[in-house]
Amino acid sequence: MKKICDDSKFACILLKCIDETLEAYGKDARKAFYEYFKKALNLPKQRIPERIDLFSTGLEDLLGIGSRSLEILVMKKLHSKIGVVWEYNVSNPELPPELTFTEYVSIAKKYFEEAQNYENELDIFVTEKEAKSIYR
Amino acid sequence: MDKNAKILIVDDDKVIRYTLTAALEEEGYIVDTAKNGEEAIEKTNANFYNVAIVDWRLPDIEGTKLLPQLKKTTPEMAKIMLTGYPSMNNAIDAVNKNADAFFIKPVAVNDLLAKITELLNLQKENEIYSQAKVAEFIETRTRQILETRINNKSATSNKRGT
Repeated sequence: MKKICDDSKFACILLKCIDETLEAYGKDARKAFYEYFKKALNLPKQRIPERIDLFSTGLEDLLGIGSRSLEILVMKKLHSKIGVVWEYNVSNPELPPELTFTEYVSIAKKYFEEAQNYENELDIFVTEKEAKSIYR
Repeated sequence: MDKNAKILIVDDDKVIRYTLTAALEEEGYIVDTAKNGEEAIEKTNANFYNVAIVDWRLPDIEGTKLLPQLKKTTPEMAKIMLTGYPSMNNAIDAVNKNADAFFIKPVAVNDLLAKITELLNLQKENEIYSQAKVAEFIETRTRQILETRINNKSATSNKRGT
């Protein structure tokens, strides 16, 4: 995939996850999905991360209940790419949390950005080159 | 042909597993092995494989009984049966259990490789066909949704006009 945005930004990671998930259905299908978002929802590809609610309802209009599987695939990819773990408070811990796709993405964004701010504050992450110069 | 295709060898005979792994890896395939039915089921549940090569007689289950238990993947995993006990009944049984090919031990590796190539090409064709169908479906749904909106709009404006 060509570089479309800044990898450190949540929106970019999310867009990549969506792009990779749609590509699993084939390149033509991915193109058709984006055409649909643009024509039917007035939602160009680059604006999907900021209107994830519209993306989700649009997917449901298009695929019905099948949209859930696609959203789950995006969530799985997002989880593996952002590398942030969080706890979710539930009334009944025996049951898995009932999260919508939009809610999940919103929580993931919050924790990802918090983790990034924490890293920036501590300034503990350095590039390989910097590390070599420090510990030489 | 997809040389990154993943192949699972299910055989309790260590020599067969090593020999086939070496031959298939030499061709560039990604190979995994299972020594019994249980391990094969676990692996197909956790991973994607393009092809499974399954021995007829496994310590815990008969190969033909294992075939329906292996997880179907997309594109559907091709299944090749191996047997050291060739008989017409075995061959018929393998075909009835949806095996895509049937080989007698000792296996002629070149024949096996040719069959794998053939099955992978078929799989690729099916995948392309399925993807085209998905794209076609989305395009049709997009047209339907847009048409419905236009019709609803004109119905609303007609109502206002009356």
